Amino acid sequence: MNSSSTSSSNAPLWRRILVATVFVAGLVAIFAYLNKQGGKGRIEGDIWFSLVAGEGLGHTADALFIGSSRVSAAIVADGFDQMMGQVLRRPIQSVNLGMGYSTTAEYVMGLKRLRDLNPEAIRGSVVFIEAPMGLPDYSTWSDTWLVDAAPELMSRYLTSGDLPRLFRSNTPTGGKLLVAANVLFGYDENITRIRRTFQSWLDATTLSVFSGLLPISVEGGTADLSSKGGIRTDKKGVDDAKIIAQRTIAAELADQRPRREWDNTTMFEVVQLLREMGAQPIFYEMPMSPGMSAIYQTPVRIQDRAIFQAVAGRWGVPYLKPTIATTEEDFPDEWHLRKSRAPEFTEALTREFLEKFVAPAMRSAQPAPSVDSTKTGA
Amino acid sequence: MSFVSLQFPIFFLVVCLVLGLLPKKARWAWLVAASCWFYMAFIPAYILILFVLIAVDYSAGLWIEKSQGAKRKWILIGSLITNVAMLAAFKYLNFALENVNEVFQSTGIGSLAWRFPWVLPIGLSFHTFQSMAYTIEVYKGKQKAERHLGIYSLYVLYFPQMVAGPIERPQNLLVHLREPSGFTWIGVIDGLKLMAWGLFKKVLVADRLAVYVDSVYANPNGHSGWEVLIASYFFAFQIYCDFSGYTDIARGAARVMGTRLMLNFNHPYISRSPAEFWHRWHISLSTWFRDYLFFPLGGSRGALWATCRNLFIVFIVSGFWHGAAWTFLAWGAIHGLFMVVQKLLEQSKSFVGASAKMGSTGAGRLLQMLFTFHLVTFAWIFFRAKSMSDALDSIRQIVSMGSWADLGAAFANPAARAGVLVMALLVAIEWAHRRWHMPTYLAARPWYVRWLLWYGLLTATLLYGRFGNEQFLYFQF
Repeated sequence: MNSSSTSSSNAPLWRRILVATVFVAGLVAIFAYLNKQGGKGRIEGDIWFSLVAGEGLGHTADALFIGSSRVSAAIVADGFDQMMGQVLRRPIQSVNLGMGYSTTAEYVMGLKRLRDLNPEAIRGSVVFIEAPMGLPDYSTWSDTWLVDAAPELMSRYLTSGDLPRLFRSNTPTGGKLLVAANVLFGYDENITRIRRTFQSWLDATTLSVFSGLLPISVEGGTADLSSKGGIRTDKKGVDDAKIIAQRTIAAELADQRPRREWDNTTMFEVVQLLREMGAQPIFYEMPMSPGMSAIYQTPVRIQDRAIFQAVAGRWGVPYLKPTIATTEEDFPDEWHLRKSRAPEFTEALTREFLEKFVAPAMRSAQPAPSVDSTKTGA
Repeated sequence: MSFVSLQFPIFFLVVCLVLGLLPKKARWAWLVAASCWFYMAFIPAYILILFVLIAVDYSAGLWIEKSQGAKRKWILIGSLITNVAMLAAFKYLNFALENVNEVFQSTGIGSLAWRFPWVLPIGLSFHTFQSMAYTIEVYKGKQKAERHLGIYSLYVLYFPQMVAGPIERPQNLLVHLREPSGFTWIGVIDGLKLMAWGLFKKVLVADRLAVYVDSVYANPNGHSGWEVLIASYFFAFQIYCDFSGYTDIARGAARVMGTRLMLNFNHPYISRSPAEFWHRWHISLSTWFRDYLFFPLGGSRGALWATCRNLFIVFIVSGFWHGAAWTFLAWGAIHGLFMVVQKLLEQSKSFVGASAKMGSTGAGRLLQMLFTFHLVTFAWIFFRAKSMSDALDSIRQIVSMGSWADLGAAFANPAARAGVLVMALLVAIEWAHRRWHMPTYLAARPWYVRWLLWYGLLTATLLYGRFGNEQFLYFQF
């Protein structure tokens, strides 16, 4: 639009400034209004630590599963609870906190906030941490703290005191600014929510209009995948995920650097925080598609894996290796285990956990071992 | 730094605040520093390439002005060769190597498993063309050589237009940079409006359309003819909104700071012929080619065949300017062919008469516009495709079309429906602008109507814009 302003160019300066101020104030008012409208309820997968803090459960969870959307796809919390409950002869409650686009830096910050709110929130819980093909996340504080697509996941855990450290990291500048705006002014998160609501409404409206004109049959959640943790199950979502997986595999194989300095990682801080809060971390191997597992089968990664197992031992964190036979078909979008195989994997993991920790505790003549006693065994 | 990054508003605000505090004589230094900072946000070391260009062309300008006779020509040629060599080294060398490699492989000689380890410096094609425009104009005597190295540096580096144009002429830009008018109320307001409009076109229209276009063009064979056709229409609007959106933000930013950059787009899709399209699309590049390549080749002064040859050469070069790939050459050749055919048809009095008669009615003009739009969209297929085989596959898919049910299936994708929505919105706004000339029309409306429209535009951008993609399509050139 080639504009040539005809606004009050002859008006005195004070009037121009007043007009500009009122215009900007109007914009701020719209922004504040949208922010307020979006302030009800939470975005899907919101604040994982608040669940643990008792908002969702009413009491401390016995076990937590933290990690990426791979965790939300592969773990069936009810299955774990049932199997453990039968053995321990009491109700067990676990929570699957697997979330797409989450990062280990976010877990550290989340745990810190949780510790400030309620230091006892996870005392006695077992915390399962995914280690794809035997290697958990290797990020450090100088890496990016957040995923571009979901900066709001991180911003809700930070305080203004954390911002200088965030700005020293290699987080993209846009992400830093968004997080800072959210932390300092409380924006972004609610706007994100109202954007999603508006876009869903617009999508539904256009669908009803187009459906009246054309024979449209919308493919819903067609893939055999869990839709929790932000996983897309529609055809396009699955196709996009496959493309991203191919790029990730190619990039990783082209430039694979050793992962040896584990004590500098954010994962080490997660382990330390969990310990400090009275929880027991446990690493477990996550099943991967053949394409993805190729990344971990190079000489560099084989050596990394051996080194990490020694590191986990030094950290005093048990390491479980549940196995189920999988094929390419078990990973519809290359990233996530098929929904129909998730109970089997959960069972394998639970069995491994029971065999390694609960059974020895039971054999040592404890009458009815609690999850706490299993942790003692761990 | 991209105009649609979160850093840019902060950067721009700081630049403007400091600029406003500085005396006019010192402003060039601040703008040079800010422009270097802006460029170095991409790949810092590549700023050295710009410094070399500045040094060569600044010296060449002064030297040409001082020299006489054939020496002037040789200095100009030296300067042009340096610019073109720079472009060739960074943009075309790897392309040439790849092709040599393919020839070697096909003849069984072997392969050169080797590439130059650099990526194309952002906006290099734009800087070199702007620099060459300066030396050519000095050579022609139409522009005095700039003596102030800082001002000349700013001519090449000026951040609003340094990475994707408009490709300015020294007569326009140097004057503004030498004698900046500074901030004016009207300049600031108009500039901000242009920037808001550009942002709307980029994040709400172009980037929404990109979702569908990218997924289809990633694998045209995996999509139905309808899907490829829809993606091709979308791409026509995507590239327009992406590039003109960038230009509007660039022009708006310059306008805020008191500089007027040239118009680069003038409703190109209402063109009624390929020639008219090129008068309305990327005007700064079209006029550059006209003035510095078409006219020196002889323009349309000679015989008909010579004019056709010149036209074809210009469009082939233009295609190659856009990118080092056969698809861009094909795109340029197709447009060259359109221009040649139009030129030949214009020789026929009956064609000219029929065309004029058709253009005298609204329906006739609409048909001419639609026909031209489809010619241009056809050529865009080559521009967008990843390879020649993909382009040909896309055309094959479109020709095979598909069933009514396939069309329904295409619109089952939310990105396709969103694309139609934003395209319709853009067409409606552009039509209204064309029909009533919105600034004039709005000026006569009460203030609250104007404000409501701008609030609506900004809120729509906030709620439906697709943020996160900081790349503009023309950055790759």
